[in-house]
Amino acid sequence: MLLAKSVASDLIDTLTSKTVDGIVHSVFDNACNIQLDRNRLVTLISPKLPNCPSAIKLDIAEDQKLYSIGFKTGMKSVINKDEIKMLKVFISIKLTGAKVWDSSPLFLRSKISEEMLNENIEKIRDLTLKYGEIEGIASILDGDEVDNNYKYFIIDSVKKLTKGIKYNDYKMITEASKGLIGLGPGLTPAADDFLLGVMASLYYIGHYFDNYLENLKKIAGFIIYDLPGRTTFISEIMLRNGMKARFSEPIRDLMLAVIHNTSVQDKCINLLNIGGTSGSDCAAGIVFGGALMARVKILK
Amino acid sequence: MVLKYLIRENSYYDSVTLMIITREVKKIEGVKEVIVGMGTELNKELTGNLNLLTPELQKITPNDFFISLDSVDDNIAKKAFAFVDELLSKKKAESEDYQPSTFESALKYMPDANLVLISLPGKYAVREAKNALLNDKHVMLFSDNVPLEEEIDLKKLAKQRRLLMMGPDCGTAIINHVALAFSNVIRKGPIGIVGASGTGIQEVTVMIDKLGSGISQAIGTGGRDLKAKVGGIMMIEGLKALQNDPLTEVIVLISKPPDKEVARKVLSILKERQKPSVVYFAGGDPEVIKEYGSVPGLSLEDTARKAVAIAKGMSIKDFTGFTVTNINKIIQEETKKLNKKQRYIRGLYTGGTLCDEAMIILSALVGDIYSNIPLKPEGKLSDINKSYRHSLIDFGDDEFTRGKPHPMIDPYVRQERILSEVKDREIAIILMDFVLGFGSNSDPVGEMIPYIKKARKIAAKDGRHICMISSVCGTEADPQSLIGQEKKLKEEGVIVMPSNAQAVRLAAAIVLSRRNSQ
Amino acid sequence: MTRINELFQEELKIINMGLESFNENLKKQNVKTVQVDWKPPTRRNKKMLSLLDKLK
Repeated sequence: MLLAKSVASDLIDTLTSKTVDGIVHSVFDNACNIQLDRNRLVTLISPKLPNCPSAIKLDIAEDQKLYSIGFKTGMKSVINKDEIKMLKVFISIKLTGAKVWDSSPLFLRSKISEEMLNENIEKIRDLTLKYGEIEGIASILDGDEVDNNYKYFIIDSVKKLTKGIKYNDYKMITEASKGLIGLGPGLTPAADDFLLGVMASLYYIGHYFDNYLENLKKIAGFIIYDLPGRTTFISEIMLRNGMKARFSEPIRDLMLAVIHNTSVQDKCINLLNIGGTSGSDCAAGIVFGGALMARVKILK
Repeated sequence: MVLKYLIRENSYYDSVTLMIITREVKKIEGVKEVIVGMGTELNKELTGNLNLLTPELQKITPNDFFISLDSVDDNIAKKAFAFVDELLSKKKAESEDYQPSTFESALKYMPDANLVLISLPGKYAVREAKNALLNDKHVMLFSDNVPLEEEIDLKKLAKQRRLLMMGPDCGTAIINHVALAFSNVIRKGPIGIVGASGTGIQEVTVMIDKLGSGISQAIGTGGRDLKAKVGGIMMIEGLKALQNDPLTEVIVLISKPPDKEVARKVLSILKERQKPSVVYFAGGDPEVIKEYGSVPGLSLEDTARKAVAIAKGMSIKDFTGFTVTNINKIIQEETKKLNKKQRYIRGLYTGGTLCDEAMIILSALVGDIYSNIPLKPEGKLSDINKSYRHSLIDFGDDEFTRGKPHPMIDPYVRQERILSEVKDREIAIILMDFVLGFGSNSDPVGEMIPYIKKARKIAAKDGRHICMISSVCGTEADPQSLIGQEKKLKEEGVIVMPSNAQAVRLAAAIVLSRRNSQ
Repeated sequence: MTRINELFQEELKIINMGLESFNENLKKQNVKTVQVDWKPPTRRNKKMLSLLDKLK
């Protein structure tokens, strides 16, 4: 019997007293994805990983690998708000008593100047180019000189997205996203991580400029309008959560640092440490989204 | 143009593994283009743009993994996929073959790194070395072509932060018994070394090992440390560290002739503590060394012998002779085989300090020596590709290595040279060093043997014998087999001496014996 | 007692920048080492907002 350390708040709605079926989708060193249906995911994570939406953090040793606990792709399980039970193998996870990790956004009033805000966004750009992995699409931060296939492929779509958001052209936004979602290497394709970063800036920096939440939600909604079938299941869930302003701890912490001018460098490095190119691609999106919001300010 | 693809349905691999796969496959020679990812519409579209899409790939879904690549031939494609299979089956979140692209990301990966080994082009190397020092890491800087001013800045910075700054132009160091760059595998023991010379350190450590003793540390400082402007910064920091090191009982210093002031400064610091020391300042004045209470080494071998004697509590004696028992017989026999015209020595060296040592010994015994790195300006060869009278060539010097690998790795230049040397009817002796250890060619002797054979054939055509003398700088624990290397030489009729100094003395003895018999 | 003496007490963990053969040789000696896949730096001195201008 394993214990859960914490459960993401968005799962509290997903997991009720009703028991549902789930199948193990994929297993890694530090994470195990269980798919409940087309739209629902529960990710079991090691204490080593930062909290994120749809995740349950297990109370195990940090260097305990999840696949060595016995999780295997295709394994069946049953899940409710109290327990996850794997069928055919003796693994179950007790959820009652676990803490709740709030995955909803933290919009707090900021008192920093616009100049400071811009500086912080610039800082993320510099750090990403210096410390990040630029083989996904993060190299887009370096201007439009082409240095890899992905960058070349998405330049036009990124320009379109920028324009679409600036001029409130929903059709353009959706078109642009169609040229981005699913592109790139990774289980969460690089362009998806980028869009996640754009959405993070949309919300947090949009909030700094006093935009109405409804407006921001609308735009985010159009970014992922044509989502189904375009990318991996894991990435779909990630983008859906992003559309609802639910981001992983490193992303949220970085946005808060930018808005409140607290240890931007540390939080940025934490983000850059994630995955292969995921953290860097996301940081690139944050920079883009941030620059855009700073330019446009109020979105109607 | 060979297109090959791989599909793994419903398969998920972590991002770091995928990143490594992409990077590594791109590096394989013959792979023109590769795309790795999940089967999303856009990835498939991009794949199509790259002309890497097949009907099977078209059918896959976003939850399927694929790789598609274009290579020059089928073998390359097979090789690439075998490699991918291996990586995918490892299923580790972080492969040990991960190669971060910057120093900073390397630090992320290995935050407890304590030494940075840099062999980048000179102008970039300085920046990286400085960065490493500022991040509190010790540095070994193999690169040369670093301006003297920058070397001084780096060493001052290192001293301030109390770190090692070995180099620039530091080719050899053995720290905590790890052979760094070009170094040998040496037994553990009580002798600590600080050297401003790569092959100097190699010859001394190898000799110490051959004599049954061992070393605690061998710190390299780079060739210019004892120049006036640099002031011996690193040699001083190194020797202080050895003075404080409980495992070091005897200290050895090695360098080419240092600036006089710097020499005194260094020697006076040696004097401060109680540990006995042996100092080899090539061609330097032994009296000055004695003045400061250290023991002067008369050759690299002599330095090693004295250090070992001190470590074993035995008496110290100058050694300028031979340890080979039938040496007189060898001298006589070789002398007889040479004809009247043959009188010159040609040294073909890969190790700079060994060449230096040879020149110092020979010039005292047989007269003027010419070289590309002469002891005196008058000794400089007008054409370094053409020997004149007694000539010793250092093939590792800049003039030979510009744009080419070092002769310890690639023997090409020396191979060609031995063939042109034997055409000279006046040459009597060819001297060669063979340096083993990590960094060196995997079979230095094997590479030269065909050319030694050919050289003998050329000389034999007009009835000439060429006396060939060698020493092999290596230990039995080195990646190349010392005994095997020596055996190959002996089978070709090359006289193998136990040290460079003895090889050189033998050459001199033969020349002198010939002069006397004429 | 300097950091150099401290280094003498530690296990060597090396970052190798440059010749891969040096890295291979360290691995043969069972030393923990990481090879940096080094490339010369690119120019990065563009202001962020003008980046957006460039993309217009």
